[in-house]
Amino acid sequence: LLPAALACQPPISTPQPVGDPCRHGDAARATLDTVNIGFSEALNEGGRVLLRLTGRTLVRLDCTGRLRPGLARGWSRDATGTTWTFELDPATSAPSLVEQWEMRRNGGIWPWSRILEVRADSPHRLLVRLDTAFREVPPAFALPPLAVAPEPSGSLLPARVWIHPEGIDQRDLLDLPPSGSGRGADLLVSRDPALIRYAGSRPQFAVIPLAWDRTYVALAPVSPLEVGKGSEEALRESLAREVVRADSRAAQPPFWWDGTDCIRTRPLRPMGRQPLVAYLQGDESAREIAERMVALASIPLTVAPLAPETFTASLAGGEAALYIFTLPRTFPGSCGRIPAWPSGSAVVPLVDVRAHAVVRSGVPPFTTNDDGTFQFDLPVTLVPLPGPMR
Amino acid sequence: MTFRVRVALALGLAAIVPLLVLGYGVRREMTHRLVTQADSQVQLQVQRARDRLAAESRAIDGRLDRLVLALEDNNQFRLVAVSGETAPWLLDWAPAAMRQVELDQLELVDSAGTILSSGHFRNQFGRSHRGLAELIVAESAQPVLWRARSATGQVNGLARARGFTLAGRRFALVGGMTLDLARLVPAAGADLTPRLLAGSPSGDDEALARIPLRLVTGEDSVVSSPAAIVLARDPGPLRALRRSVDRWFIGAIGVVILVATALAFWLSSRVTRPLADLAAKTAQVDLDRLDQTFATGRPDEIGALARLLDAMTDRLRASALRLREAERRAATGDLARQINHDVKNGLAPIRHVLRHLNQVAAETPGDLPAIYRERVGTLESSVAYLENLSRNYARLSPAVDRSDSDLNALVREIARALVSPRPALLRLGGDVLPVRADAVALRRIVENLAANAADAARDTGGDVTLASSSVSRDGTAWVRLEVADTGPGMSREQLERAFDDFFTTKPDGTGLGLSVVRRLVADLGGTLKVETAPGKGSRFIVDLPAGDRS
Repeated sequence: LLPAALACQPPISTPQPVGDPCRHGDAARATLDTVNIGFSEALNEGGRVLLRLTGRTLVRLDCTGRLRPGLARGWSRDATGTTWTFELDPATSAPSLVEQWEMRRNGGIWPWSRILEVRADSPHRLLVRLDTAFREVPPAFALPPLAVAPEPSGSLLPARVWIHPEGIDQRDLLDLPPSGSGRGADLLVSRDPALIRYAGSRPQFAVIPLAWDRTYVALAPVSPLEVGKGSEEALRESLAREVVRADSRAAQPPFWWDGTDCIRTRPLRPMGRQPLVAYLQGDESAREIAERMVALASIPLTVAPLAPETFTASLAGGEAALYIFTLPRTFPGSCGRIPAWPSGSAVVPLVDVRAHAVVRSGVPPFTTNDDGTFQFDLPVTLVPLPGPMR
Repeated sequence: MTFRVRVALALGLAAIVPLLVLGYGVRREMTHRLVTQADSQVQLQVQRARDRLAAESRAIDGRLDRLVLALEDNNQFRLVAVSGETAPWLLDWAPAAMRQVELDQLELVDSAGTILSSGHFRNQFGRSHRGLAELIVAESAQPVLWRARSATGQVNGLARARGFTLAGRRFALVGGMTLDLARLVPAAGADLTPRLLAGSPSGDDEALARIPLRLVTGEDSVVSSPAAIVLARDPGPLRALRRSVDRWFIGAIGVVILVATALAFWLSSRVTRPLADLAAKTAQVDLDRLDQTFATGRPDEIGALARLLDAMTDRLRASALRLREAERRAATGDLARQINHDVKNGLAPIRHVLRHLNQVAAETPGDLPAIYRERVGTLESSVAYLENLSRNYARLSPAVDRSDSDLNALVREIARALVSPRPALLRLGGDVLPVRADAVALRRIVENLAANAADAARDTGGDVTLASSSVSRDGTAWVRLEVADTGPGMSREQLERAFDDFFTTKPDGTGLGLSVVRRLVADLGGTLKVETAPGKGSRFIVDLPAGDRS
């Protein structure tokens, strides 16, 4: 058994779409009228994707970072660059959009503070006044929290969405019958390399890489930690190639947090650094990076998996020698989602990672966005699951 | 220290000292056996641990051999060997292989010591462990302990190494199993603790046994140093056992001391009480009280002593009787001589008067009446003297009959006839028991003491007091007569001779009154006591046996 077990695994297959690199699937071959969508992400991550699935933003950024129309078919600005007029498609009501935004703002779910005023200039024309002048349409209009649900009379794609619990074998989700008669996943979003390899070996599934959506960083509260004798770039390459088993690459700039005032810093606690490399418990890629840091460090260190609350508190106080955690590749829209860390900390981007969508044949076509999300041509309407997951 | 206490201490020590010696011996023997048993257990555990170390080393060798064969057959690894470049899949080879062959440490290194794949620390690849495999092979005469680094700390493993050549390149596999001391020395006992000791052994620790090892440590520079698995005894359980034994021992000794002390005092009390009773009875013996008896039914030494004391008391009683008889005879002789002397003295004037009257009658009969009238006074005074003498001697006659007499009535009667400067004062008890005595003797005692007191009071014009009461002495009822005067009293010398026959301080006294009283009181079985001092008067206290109230 030993030689067979030790044989190397095939690489992750990443089929390249033809034409629009961000569009996947063939409308002519779409056979499923209901789609089962599973996520192996944390709930907030899934929530971000859900907003993208169930709503539409005025504009969107596709997987290449190119600005694409959304609910707005066109837009213009005044001479000051602070007032923008969006021409909405005929199926979208400007007053309804204003109402949904107001409800979201009043409910505290508002990702972008630069919007001063929103007004329906006509049934399908929207005026937005900003506190800052922009030459081009701001990409923040593509933030998922600004997505609005379509009109009730519009066409929708029925879908069952779930975040599957930890510990299950995700391959079972692919092997179950499809949505028509069971709980099998028609579209599964995952970072598990084993699952992706398995799906690539099944002819009825296509594996589509989503956009690089996270960057693992190393944060040294006091000063950069010496990890190995090579260059920082060589370390990134080694981590991406040899350490992180999820789909990864050496972290590539730009990094939105460079020079931003969104990072909340705190004074370093006057306590001795513990010889630990801390990471968030359950994050396998963070564990792998942390172990490599321990192996390369010039001083004796050990890894320390911390629960989320403990990790946040420890990071804010700068108690460990080094922290490994992720930051989103794109600005999350809200600074509150970024953890606080001691001022003066050295933050070194290490590797970017991305998830993959495992898509069953017959799923309607969809387009991937630059923040790691995707969306179908029709907005999704959620339907109940057929029963509890086992 | 009393004899009773001495006996108690002797008995207590006789019980306690042997017990102390026994307890000390038991405790010492128990400790010795415990230590011996523990030592033999240690030796057994050491031998078993050596056997397990050897067996586990052989098992590691076997697993490494299988892994070497697998690598030699692995074409992908051969490509690595040929190209000299590592491959990402190789990084995951050692973790998987380590799990499959159930090792806790596994490293694949090349000839330069560079880690190609690490099972216990997957992401340690690329670091150098130069000389690790060679050092482990070189030290394999003894069990080798490899202190390997992991992401979460260090892990100590019993390690072995295998070198092999593939495609002309040298590689080595180092594998190990975690050194689980609890598994290595199972059932060592609660007081036997195995621990790993790095460095050269020092003589000052409490190790009972050592299993020597070689400890291999280091990263870029690997070194070997002596180490040992040390079996040390935790002194706690043995100390606790000793304390428990001591507590029981002390508790038992305490109980025994209490019981022995109580028993000793009880026994000493039993032994000495008859002696104390004999001593108390002996203390009451004197010449006036020789009726004490010591007789017991005991057949032992104390009974013999009591019988000896009884015999001695009998001899004393006989001697006292003889002495009293001798005294009585001596007194009678003195009395006879005195009477003879006194009568002669009384008869001499009569004889002279009669001789004179005879001479006158013969020579001058006519003068006879005148001469008679002249000399008749002499005759009458001599006769009166003899009559007085006769009365005095009559008072010396002993009593012969005893009956219950009313002392108060007698005292009142005598007080009325008493000739004294002032009437006698009477303080008679209201509930005085009758006196068991000869009525004449009792009257003579009261008359003599009252007359004596009246004579003494007459000299100073003082008072005479007569008193009676009932008293209890040693559980016996007595009747007390007190006769006091406020006369001149007596000096110590006078008191010492007051009861002698014929001793008197009065010009017309016979000196027999108090002597008669002393004898009569003694004859009646009573006691006589005098309280007197010069100028303070005298008080005579007579206790007589009480009669029946009915």
